[in-house]
Amino acid sequence: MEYKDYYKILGVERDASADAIKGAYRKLARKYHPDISKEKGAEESFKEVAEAYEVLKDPEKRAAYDQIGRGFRPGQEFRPPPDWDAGFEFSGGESGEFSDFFEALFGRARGRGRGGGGEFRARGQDHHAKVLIDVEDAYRGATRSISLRSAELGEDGQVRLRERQVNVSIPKGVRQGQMIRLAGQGSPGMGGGPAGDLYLEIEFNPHSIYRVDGKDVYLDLPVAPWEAALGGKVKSPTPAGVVDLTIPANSGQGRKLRLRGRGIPATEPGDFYAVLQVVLPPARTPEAQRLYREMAEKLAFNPRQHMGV
Amino acid sequence: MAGSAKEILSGIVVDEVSTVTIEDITRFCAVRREKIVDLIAEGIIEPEGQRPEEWRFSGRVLSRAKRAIRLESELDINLGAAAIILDLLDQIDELRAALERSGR
Repeated sequence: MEYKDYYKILGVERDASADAIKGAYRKLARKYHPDISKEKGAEESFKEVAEAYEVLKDPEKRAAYDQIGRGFRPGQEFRPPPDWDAGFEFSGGESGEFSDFFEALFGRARGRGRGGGGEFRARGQDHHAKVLIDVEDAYRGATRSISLRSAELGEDGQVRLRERQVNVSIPKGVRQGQMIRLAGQGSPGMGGGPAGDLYLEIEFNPHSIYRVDGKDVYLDLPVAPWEAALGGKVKSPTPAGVVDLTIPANSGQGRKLRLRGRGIPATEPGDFYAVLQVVLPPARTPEAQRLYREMAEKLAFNPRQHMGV
Repeated sequence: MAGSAKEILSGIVVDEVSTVTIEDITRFCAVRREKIVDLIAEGIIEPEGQRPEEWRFSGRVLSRAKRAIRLESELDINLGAAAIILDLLDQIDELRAALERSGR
């Protein structure tokens, strides 16, 4: 694995004080925090910064890191020497959030009291995962295969990272941000305690044409000028299939046509909105240009009239 | 794992209907009960019910509580500041949704 230079990541000197490290972390955390920065790669940067701080803020971990890191450059191939952590006691830190480099040095497998089973009965931890679905899945229901990573205590007392696949049924009518709770699918309990739960948070993939707002679904529907002006029937896609829409005469750009109850299904289903987008036919052929000129002459229409120009 | 059945698991949608307990939130966030009580004191999550023993929450509080706790630790701020940030983020979400609805 690659060596990570945590001092460089935080932009501090190797002999930086605890305060300097804290200050550096705060600035970078605010810059890259995924809730605050929408830049691509911000989350990756944030994870890196958080990991660097996790090590450098803790005197024990920092000392161990300094000792092991002498002479390495960032990105250089790295292997921890055997037994290197003898004498260091580490605690805390969630697994699955840190790089391989961190796990090799400070992962939960290290520093655990080995030997002596000890009677310790506890409920397993809950797991959280996000599940990405499409809008259509919320209309019809779906099955999704999720890959979960969990840290588990093996029989030998060692903590291992285990990856498993589960198939989950996504019911009809789920909404953005809702949680599905799968009882007993979290971490196994210890000493005979019950297993924790698995929580899946629903997130919608951005859709090419639909926008979701709670239970309501929006679609920008292109229409021809005469369809908007004269009204009439047009076909519109919806996540549940194609429907016939009646456009009232004299509909303007941006007018919303509501189809009640055609949003995300529920006891009280959401609504589907077609937002009219008037699109001009191109004026590239002589015939098209002639027709436009005729409209200009015969309709005497000035859209800037109210501006006095 | 060889031989494991490819079964399909079903769960319960944790909904707006208030059924979540403090216990559930504590386990979900993997923190002590006191921390959840602090969240309630800051108004970050709000229970229904008169007495603490009767308190129940909507399913939405799970991710909100977790988010507040993460902000507190990730940004190295206190819960009061985290509460303000969450409110501002809500406002941003509302504005984004309004933009979406207006077709822009």
